[in-house]
Amino acid sequence: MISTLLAASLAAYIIASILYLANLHIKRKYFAAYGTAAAAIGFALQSIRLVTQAIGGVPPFANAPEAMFFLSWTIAAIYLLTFIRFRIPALGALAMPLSLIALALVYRSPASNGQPFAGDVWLRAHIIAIIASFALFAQAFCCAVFYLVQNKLLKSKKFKGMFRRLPPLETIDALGFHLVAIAFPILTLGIAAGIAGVKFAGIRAAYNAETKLMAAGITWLVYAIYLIAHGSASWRGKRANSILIIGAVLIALTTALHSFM
Amino acid sequence: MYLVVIGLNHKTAPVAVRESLAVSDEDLPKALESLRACPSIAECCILSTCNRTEVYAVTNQRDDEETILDFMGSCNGNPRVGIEQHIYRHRGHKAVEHLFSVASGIDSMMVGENQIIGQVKNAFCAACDCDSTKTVLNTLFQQALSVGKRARTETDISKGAFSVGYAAVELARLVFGELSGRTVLIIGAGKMGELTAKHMQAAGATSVIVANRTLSKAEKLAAALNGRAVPFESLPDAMTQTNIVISSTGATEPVVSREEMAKIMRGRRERPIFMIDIAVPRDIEPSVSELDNVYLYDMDDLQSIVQESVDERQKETEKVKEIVAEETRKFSAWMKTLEAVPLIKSLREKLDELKETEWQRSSAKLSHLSDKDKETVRMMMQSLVNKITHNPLVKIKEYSSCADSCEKLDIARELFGIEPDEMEDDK
Repeated sequence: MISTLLAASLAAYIIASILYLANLHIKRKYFAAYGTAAAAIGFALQSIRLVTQAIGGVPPFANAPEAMFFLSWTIAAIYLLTFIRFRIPALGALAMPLSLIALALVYRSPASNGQPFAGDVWLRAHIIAIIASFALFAQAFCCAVFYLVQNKLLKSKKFKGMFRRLPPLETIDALGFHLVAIAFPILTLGIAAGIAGVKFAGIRAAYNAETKLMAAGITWLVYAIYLIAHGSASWRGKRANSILIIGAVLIALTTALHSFM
Repeated sequence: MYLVVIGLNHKTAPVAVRESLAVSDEDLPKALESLRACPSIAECCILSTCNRTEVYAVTNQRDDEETILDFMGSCNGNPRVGIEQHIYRHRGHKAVEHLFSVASGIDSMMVGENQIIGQVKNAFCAACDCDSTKTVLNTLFQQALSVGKRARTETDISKGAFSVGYAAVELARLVFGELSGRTVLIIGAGKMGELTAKHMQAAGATSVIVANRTLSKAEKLAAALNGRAVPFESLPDAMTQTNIVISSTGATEPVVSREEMAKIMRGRRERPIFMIDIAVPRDIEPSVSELDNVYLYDMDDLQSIVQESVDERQKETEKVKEIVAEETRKFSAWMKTLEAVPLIKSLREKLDELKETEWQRSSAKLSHLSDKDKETVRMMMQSLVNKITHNPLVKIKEYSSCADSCEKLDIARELFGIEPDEMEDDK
């Protein structure tokens, strides 16, 4: 049943992604609504699996595939929450594919054989916090991409295509900033927990902890720069949102590092 | 009973002819009165806007259309010969289709515009006030209003920008989202600037600042827009505070240069600014738009948005036509059932009469019966009549919506021995 739920949610996210992408390109009212419905169904299926697994003694931080699954679930959760609050279906065209990629990686993660993570409390806190912050950053990345696209369309003065279906610049800029402002402290806590884990539990040897912490540290720095830049003069708009893209690339690298080393 | 529309619009007649035939709101009751006075016209309604004058009528004979033409000619002392070449006539379902198309906006000069729905409503209300509409036009106009609404909710026929001012609002919304709480700065006290600012205010912009070389003119415009005037020299200051700038001065040299704007943007801490330059020659150096967080548009940009919306709406007309066709079919089917109504009524009356005569004749012989038994006999008669007529009545209703309804209804009339003139009163 667990694998059926996984496959079913994967299918739902594929449908949601296609519908949301279609919504950007083809003018039909119901694409966005059906996309949201598919996303909500996929999320519900994922939630059932998450709870069933946790009850069965396989928490999100148990191994790499479970962590990936948790990341996918969190991205979907944050997208649906922002949708309820701001009604920006355009974001789904990027957020749902991201969630879908994370979900697909559940099948591809090298620890599929079930090799468990160490059961240390610091490590658990580290994994949960890092994943939550990554999901928030992923959503901020979606905002940044649409900001840059919309900015380009508005500047180029070619009034064709999707520009009417994209969210207003100020709205999307502010949303990205708020997401990072929430994610940043969580990331900080996650990194702190990771360092504590290395210090107190001595798990350095098993996990290449140094390299990973370094990658996380650089990511942290980039988002710190973004937060400062967004608040100060002359770095608003395009430049600030470009930093979010760099941050997202670093996150992808860090995730890859954690999954395959 | 014939439904007809006779009229002209922007497609068939030049403005001079349209003007001469237009019926003003004040003259409308009088015009309706004189049309209603014609014995051949059972119902009428006049729809007169700046782009069309149309008379919708239900006549007793087909030839009665001529009366309407005479009326239109005489209306403004125009000779009828002069107008005939511009006139179109639609009868029956074509007339229905025409009104539905008009109400849904696809017959308008600016396709999809919303004003027409109010104009149709007003025309209908005026006719109702003059008591010149009955069953057919009442149902037709109410249906037309609902078709108009349906077209606008189910398709994008009325979406997008209809004017330059509207296009400016649409663009500003793509930058800021909601415009409520935003400040608009108008440079120059021109008419276009005022108009665009009014659009912004209607969209929610709260405060207005006017800057003009002649302060008194700025003050006058500011008063009209509920804003405040500032001297031209403090323009950079004003630009630091506003979200939206509308520039329409008559200056021959640019009012805002790129260097100045860069300085202003630093002063704004790079908060986005939306600028509309509707002056010719332009007030704001075009290179200003290269600056980050500055969104600058000129008249051509706005025009191209309007044009794009027009194209988009044109594409939607096909969908609207489908809705119109569907609603026309429904209405025509309903109208045909109307033809059966007088026949059914006469038939019922005839049978009731028969029943009553038979009862009178036999009641003397049945005097020995108790009241209760008499009642039973009467009920039996009624039930027999009902049972016999049930099937014919259903069939008559069905016949009325057939293609050859007239012939079939005539046969039904013959079978039950109902003379056509018996029904005349019901018409």
